[in-house]
Amino acid sequence: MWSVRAAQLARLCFIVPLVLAILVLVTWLSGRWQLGTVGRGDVPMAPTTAALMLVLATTGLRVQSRGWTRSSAVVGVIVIAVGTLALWWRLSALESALVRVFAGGPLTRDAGPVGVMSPLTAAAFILSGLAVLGQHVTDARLRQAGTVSATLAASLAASVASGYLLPASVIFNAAVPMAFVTSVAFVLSSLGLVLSGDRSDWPLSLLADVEGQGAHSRRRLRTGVVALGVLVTSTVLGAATLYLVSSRLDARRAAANDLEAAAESKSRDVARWYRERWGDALAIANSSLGSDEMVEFLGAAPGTQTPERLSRWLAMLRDSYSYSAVILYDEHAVARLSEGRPGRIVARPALERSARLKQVVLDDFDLRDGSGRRQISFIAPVLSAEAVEQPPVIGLIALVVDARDDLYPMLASWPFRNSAAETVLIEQDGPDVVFLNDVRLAGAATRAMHRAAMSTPRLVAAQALAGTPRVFEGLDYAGERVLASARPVDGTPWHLVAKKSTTEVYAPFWRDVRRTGTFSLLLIVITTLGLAVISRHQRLRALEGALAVERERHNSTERLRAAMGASLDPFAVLDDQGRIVEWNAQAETTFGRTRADAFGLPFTAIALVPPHDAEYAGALAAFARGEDHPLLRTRVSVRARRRDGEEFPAEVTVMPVRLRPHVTFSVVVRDITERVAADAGIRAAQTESERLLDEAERSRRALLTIVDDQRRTEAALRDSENLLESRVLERTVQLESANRELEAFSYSVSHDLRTPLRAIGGYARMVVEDYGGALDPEGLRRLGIIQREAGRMAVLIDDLLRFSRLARQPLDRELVDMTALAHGAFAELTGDLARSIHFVVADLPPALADGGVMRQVWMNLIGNALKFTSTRDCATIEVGGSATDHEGTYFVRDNGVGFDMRYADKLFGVFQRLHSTGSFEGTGVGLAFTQRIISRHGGRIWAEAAVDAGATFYFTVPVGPEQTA
Amino acid sequence: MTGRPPRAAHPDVLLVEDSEQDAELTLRVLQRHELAARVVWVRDGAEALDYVFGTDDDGQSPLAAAPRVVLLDIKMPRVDGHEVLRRMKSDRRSRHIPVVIMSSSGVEQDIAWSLAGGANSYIVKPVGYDAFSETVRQVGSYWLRVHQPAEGR
Repeated sequence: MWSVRAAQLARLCFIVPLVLAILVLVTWLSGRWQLGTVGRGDVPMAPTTAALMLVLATTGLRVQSRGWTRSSAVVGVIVIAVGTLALWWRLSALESALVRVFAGGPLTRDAGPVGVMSPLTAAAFILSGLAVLGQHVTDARLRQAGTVSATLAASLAASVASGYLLPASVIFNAAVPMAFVTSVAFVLSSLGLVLSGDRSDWPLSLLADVEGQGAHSRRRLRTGVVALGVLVTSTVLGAATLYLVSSRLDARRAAANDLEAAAESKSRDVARWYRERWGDALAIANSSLGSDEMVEFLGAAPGTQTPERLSRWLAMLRDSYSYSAVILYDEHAVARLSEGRPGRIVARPALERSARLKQVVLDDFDLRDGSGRRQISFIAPVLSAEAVEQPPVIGLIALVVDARDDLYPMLASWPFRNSAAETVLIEQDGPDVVFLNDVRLAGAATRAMHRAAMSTPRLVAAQALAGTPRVFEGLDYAGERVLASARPVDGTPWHLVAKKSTTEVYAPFWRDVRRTGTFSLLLIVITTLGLAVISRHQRLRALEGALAVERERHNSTERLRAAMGASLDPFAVLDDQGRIVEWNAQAETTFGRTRADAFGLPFTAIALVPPHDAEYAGALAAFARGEDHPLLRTRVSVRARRRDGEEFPAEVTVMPVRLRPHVTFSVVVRDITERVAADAGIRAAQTESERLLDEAERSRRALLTIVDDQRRTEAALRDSENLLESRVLERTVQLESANRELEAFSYSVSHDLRTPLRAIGGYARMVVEDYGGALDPEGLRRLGIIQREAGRMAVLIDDLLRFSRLARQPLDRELVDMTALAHGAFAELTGDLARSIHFVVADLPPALADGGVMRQVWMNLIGNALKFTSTRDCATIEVGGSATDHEGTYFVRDNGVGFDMRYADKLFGVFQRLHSTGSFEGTGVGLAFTQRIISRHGGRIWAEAAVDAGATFYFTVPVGPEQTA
Repeated sequence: MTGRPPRAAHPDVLLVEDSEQDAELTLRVLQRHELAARVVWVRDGAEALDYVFGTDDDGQSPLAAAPRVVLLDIKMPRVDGHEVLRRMKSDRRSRHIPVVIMSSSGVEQDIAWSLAGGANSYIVKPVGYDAFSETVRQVGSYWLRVHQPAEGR
């Protein structure tokens, strides 16, 4: 997607310069090169530039479809070569010849040659050529350098183009400018080259997809952004500089034009004025004014009366041009008659010179001596009218002008608005230059300033007298920097200088500097901010990508670890040296080392027993060297070792994984201790059963000697098996801590109670045996009671032992027909009973119980009922029951003596009796025994009764076998 | 016969019984049926071991006394019957002497333990006198008359 769009854009970037180059060539060929310029200061694209651009753009277009080929490389070389030639050897001669062919002669425009390749253009061509060549090399750094040079070319051209786009023309003083068209063509072609470059190269890389790239590329990104910022900044500054250079030139040119115009018009004015005054004097000199009256007057002695006519004539003369005074001198230069404002006496040397040369003479001595007087005199000789040939001078007439009234206003007036411009009239006076008019500096300084040495450096007036160019810069009399235009005033000894302070001349330029500076700074700040935003965005994307990659890596590691943890077998990952890098929980348990402990340890050394450790170490090393080994990729039975040194049988599978450039091994260890033990158990069981079979065989043979019935032998065998089984179960039961107390109790009962009882019975018997004859019948009867009671106590003790044994006896549960049991118990108990008893049995639900002990329950409960109804004439015993999903409930109800419910809690205690022994027989064990049986079945027993109103005993037996107490 | 009997080289029966009454009943039966001429009665396991091995037994010298049969109660003060049985059956000098456990206890654990420890027989003393005297008579007649001890003993 990106490359397609980039190629389309690059194509557009090359098509425009191509079209421009063709159009420019057409204008040259048709002799209308002016069409290729914009505005007044512009030059057209040179024909050589156009031709080279044509080649470059064509190649760029070709590259988009065919890629970088050998021909494009050749074009790159050509472009560089031509650019270098233009830059160093100046092809201008050749080019000028070319231009002559096209245009019929050398062309210049605004001091620059036209049709010659600019050095800037040549530099841009060299950069473009380098960019083209850069795309042909495989080295990424060189390629990047090529793209950078294309970017620089674009930047250079953009500088020039923006200089044009600003409202000023770019002309380098005495240099060949790059044409606007050329700059536009280069901006586009260089962009095209950048776009044709590799996407990963700067500056395109700044826009590229940076997700998932590392810290290195983030650093590159930062560098790239900074570089682009520097480039944009220098482009902006370059354009600004070009604009300002142009602005300065414009300001200077405008001022120079003004000054030149002023100097020209004023010098013309001054020259005309001078010529008129000179003409006046010439007219006097040639008018043969030496009338009789004048001759007479001049010839008379001074002090004679002035003729009326002469005075009128002088007055008329003075008024004809409003001279400040007209003075008549005699031939000896003595003033005889003065008309007008009395002024300084005209310089005598000038008078004498005029008289001698019989010519009009200018006396501008006042202007030169710095006296402050500003009097200019034109001295005309008055010639005698009598002699035609060589007429003698009879007198002199001086036409006196006050420059302040006449000449200076002419100099001070300017044809344009002006504040700092000044016109100065100067004249050389020996080694000095004399300022003839009032300079602006007023007061005391004026006198010192009216004259300066010609040798004063950079003095404008001196340069003007030396005949330097019409417009030049220098220092004026006050030492101020000025721009000046000077010219000699025709027909006079004077020179005229029009000058203007450079401060004022360049004021528009400085205004532009301020404006452009602010604008550029703003542009740079905006660009920097924009780049910062891009950079930040890209860096965030890069970081996000890196984060995602890292998270994915972390997740996969976690997944792997979770998968390893889920393994039932110990699992380890080893590096190429056989060191443990992963170690799952099962391995921790099996080998007794935590993951942290095991990390980095050599697996074979810590987990395997010789010789397996060395064998496996060799196998790992072999694979790491690149060889295979038969121990790898197969399951091998070995002896493994735990941390405490305990050895155990195991199956080891080592799978090598070659993850270039690394090698890792995954190791699965299966602890087969239990399996081996199980095998041993099976073997032991086999041995045991063989032994039992042997034993059975022996028993069989032994019994065969007594009875030959095989079934009896088998029964005996079965019995012995049953015995064995019951012993095992009994032993299991004995291990139950809950029975320990009962154990001790029954032990003490069986031993400690029986021994004295035996003694009682035994000694009574001994008395009867040994001394029976000595006793009377009453004595024998009493000894008999002792023996009988001892015997009863023995029964009690046996009951108790039976009761305690019940706790240890395992229950053999099966489905028991309770109805039959109840009937059986009743029948057994009443077998030899003479009483009439009403016995009612409902259909009872079957119970999951031990039939033997359950029979005891019925015996006890029905026996109790019989016992406590013995005093009733018509005893009724009712047995019933019901069942739910999880238990069966049974009851035995009688109409006997009952009991007080207040004592119900004592009913099921051992040896607890609610009736005296005298009234009802019993040991007090029966109900305790019954309750024990029921509770061992997981059921409950309780009773409801009232004194003399019968009793009902209820009990439940759960259906499920798992509720065994 | 009461009190500590004089040490005889080879008594017929060594009766180890802490209950004076049981001992008297047993002796009475044995005497009435003329089963044993020499019966030595000691009250507990410590006395029994002293009697058989001597008070300063070094483990090597001949036994102080080697009865033809030992009737041994289990529950006794100081040293109980299990310990006596263990000592006698683990010593090669006394291993051949038959030991009959006579206990009031019918506890399975005692029976199993005694038989595993090498007891030659285990008898539960009946409570009733008739049954008791019959049992003692049978035991005495078997071990003192029917049983054939090892050669030279």
